[in-house]
Amino acid sequence: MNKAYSIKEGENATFPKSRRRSQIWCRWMERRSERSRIVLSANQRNSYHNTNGNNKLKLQLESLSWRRELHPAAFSAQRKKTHPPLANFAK
Amino acid sequence: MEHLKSIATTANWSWSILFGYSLLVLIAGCKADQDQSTSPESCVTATATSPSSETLAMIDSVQKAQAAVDPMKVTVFMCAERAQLLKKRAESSEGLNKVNFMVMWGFEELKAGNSEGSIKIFQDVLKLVQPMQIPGKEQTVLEMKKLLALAALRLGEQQNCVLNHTTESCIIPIAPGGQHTKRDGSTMAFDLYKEILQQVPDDLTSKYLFNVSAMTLGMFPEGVPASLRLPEQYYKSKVEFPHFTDIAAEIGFDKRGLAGGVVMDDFNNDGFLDIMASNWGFHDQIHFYKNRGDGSFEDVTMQSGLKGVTGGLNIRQTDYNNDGWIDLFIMRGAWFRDQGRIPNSLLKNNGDGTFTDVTVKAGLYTKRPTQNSVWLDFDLDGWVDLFVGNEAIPDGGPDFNFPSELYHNQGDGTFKEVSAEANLQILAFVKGSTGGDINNDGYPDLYLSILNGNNRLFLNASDEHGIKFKEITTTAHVEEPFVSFPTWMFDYNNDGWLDIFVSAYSDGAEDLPGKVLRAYGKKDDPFRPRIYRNNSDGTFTDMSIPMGLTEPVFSMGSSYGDLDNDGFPDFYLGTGEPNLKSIVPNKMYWNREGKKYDDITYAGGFGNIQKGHGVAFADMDRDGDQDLFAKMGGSFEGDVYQSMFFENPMPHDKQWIVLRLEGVKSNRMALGARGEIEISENGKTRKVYEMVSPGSSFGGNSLQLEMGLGKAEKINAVKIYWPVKGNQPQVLPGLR
Repeated sequence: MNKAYSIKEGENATFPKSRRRSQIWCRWMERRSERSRIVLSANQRNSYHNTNGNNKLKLQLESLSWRRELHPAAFSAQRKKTHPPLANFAK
Repeated sequence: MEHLKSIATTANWSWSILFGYSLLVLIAGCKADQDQSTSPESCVTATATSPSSETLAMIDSVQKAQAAVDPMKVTVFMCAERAQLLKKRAESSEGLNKVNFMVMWGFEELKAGNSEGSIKIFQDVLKLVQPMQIPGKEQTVLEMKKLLALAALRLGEQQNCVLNHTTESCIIPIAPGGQHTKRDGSTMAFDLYKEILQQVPDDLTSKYLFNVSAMTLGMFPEGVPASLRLPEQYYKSKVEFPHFTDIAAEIGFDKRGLAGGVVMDDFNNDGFLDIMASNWGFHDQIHFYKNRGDGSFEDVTMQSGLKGVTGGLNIRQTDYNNDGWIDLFIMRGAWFRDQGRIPNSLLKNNGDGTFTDVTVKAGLYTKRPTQNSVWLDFDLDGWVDLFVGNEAIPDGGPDFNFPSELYHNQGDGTFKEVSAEANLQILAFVKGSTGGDINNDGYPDLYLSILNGNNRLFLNASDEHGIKFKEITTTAHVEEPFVSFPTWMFDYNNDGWLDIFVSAYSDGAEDLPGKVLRAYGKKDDPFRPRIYRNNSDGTFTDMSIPMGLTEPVFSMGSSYGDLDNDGFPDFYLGTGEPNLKSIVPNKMYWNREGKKYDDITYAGGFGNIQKGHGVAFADMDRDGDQDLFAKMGGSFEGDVYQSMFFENPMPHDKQWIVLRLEGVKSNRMALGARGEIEISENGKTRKVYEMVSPGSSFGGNSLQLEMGLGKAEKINAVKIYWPVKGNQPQVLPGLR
């Protein structure tokens, strides 16, 4: 229980992978409150979704900066890209 | 005014302008994407991929089909253009003719998103009418005031919920953070509705909208006269439920758009669920968001060869060629009736992050109005077949002769139309279709939801000669409601037999707010959703009233999932009726052990009053519980709204399991396969069932089985019923 399995028809072999909150996402979620403050500060009425784009862009840049700080790997220009069909839950 | 008009038209026109240039100058797409996307970093690393020649040919075909639509025969698009035509006619007319043209002009401006302009026009109409001596003048003035009030309320929605959006915007009951700070629109609406109700206190729609206007101003309940006030308990759920918060803005999904579809699934086979979303506007780009796996998403549309792929009120995932990569089917033309001759698209996933249109090559190119489809292996040959539900009007003549289609997958990338051989010749206004094995013989059956007609159930009677169906509607007792929309099959009571859900839609006789209030407290409204319990003998029993589903909900987008991991499926209904008065909450229902459904709309924070369309439940953040994505936005070109993403905040106090199935003899994505898990819980054993399915006919759940297991102490047995001949389950003893 509390795991993800890939199951191929006719094969009893299973591939349990620990799935209890991927670690990176977990950190992201734990920092929700901090990020929310950033979002809300830029999300003040009359600024967020202002159609001139400046404030929204500012928000994006703030968010980008925050993400870069937390997840430098996510911004690598050449992120490793693997596509093993249906068996890669172990990130 | 220009400010609002630009918002209203952004979703429709910006991409059309863009396409003219970006196909030639790819780098321009990057800049434009930055303007549209919340992921500016995508422009730093992304490389645009030109659509393939096949995709470009289909884009051209779709655009030509859309260009052939007569703007005077549709009501949802080209509102601004029609407004200009009507303006000219109004300006060149006199007397009552002028009044009539002005009213039509104002209404088109309102639908186009120009609420301020429509307010001015309706005010001018009132000034014109006041001194006139005309029959029925009092009623005319009243109707003008109602239109004026609606325009004012709409202005408030645009200035606050859309332009100054917060996570509490437009969610009933409106919390302080969602109350309007730009108060002109709602204040005007409040005053007008108060005046209207003094004249017609029994006008339930006006009464409902009056209370909403008060709520947006923070004046509910005290500021509403007792005689006109809706009971406070109307906005309260009868049970407690954790409050969900829309975090779409935080993770980059708050893109504004019109009605559309969604698929939440793993398109790149990296183990993380991605999102594909469409808008139905002729010029609205489909969007593909790649899950980075770190809590952020990247809009990779331009890198995926999808630039210029537009429209689609609904989309559906499949794997038509069994290559293990999820393909996409886009459905177009719905609601356009005789003008809906716009082709659907099948997009093949190339496995390298790009898609190629294969509609023509696959033999699926037709031009009929479509909003729903079912991908299942009807003859159990290991390849998914396709049913396409079209919108025909049986007695409408040749202009409305759009038979539904049934395609047999030939296993070589092509399909053959076999509806006649299969005894499935459907000429009806099909608004929903769903499939599943209702008699547990291994073969998937088919249920069709019909607008203005009896719904229909077909038993799969396929044999060695091919796909065959036999209609059992009458004996199965699953015809109602008469005006139906979304539908799905699921096992709501975990008895091992698939049940059927089908929701009602509007018959146009009464506005939804009025209908909802009229039905409040009653149980047998004909517009309530139906949940048909499978009696396991070929018949069904309507359980809607005993299950507590008594309220009429004119739903469109919808789907089911298990919010609390108890193993019993809950569901969400998006109230997407185009009518601008239909600002009634989207609804969430909580399954209580298969015995009843509790409405948790208000307790859970799901009651957004904007239009809800494509809905998907899936464990996006891989924490063991299902999150919810809802594609928001209406049908009229000015009715844009931000999509919502609710991250599930439920305590992790229950067990769960995820099974991702790969067929070998059966179709590779295992569409139609069923999982059966026996658990021990509190000293007892029980079984939980789930089918590999996208969910609702207007939803896009992941194809992985995400099964809640309640307070299970252990799993006793896992069985998979693969969609193959023989119908013998595979037992998986090793799963714990």
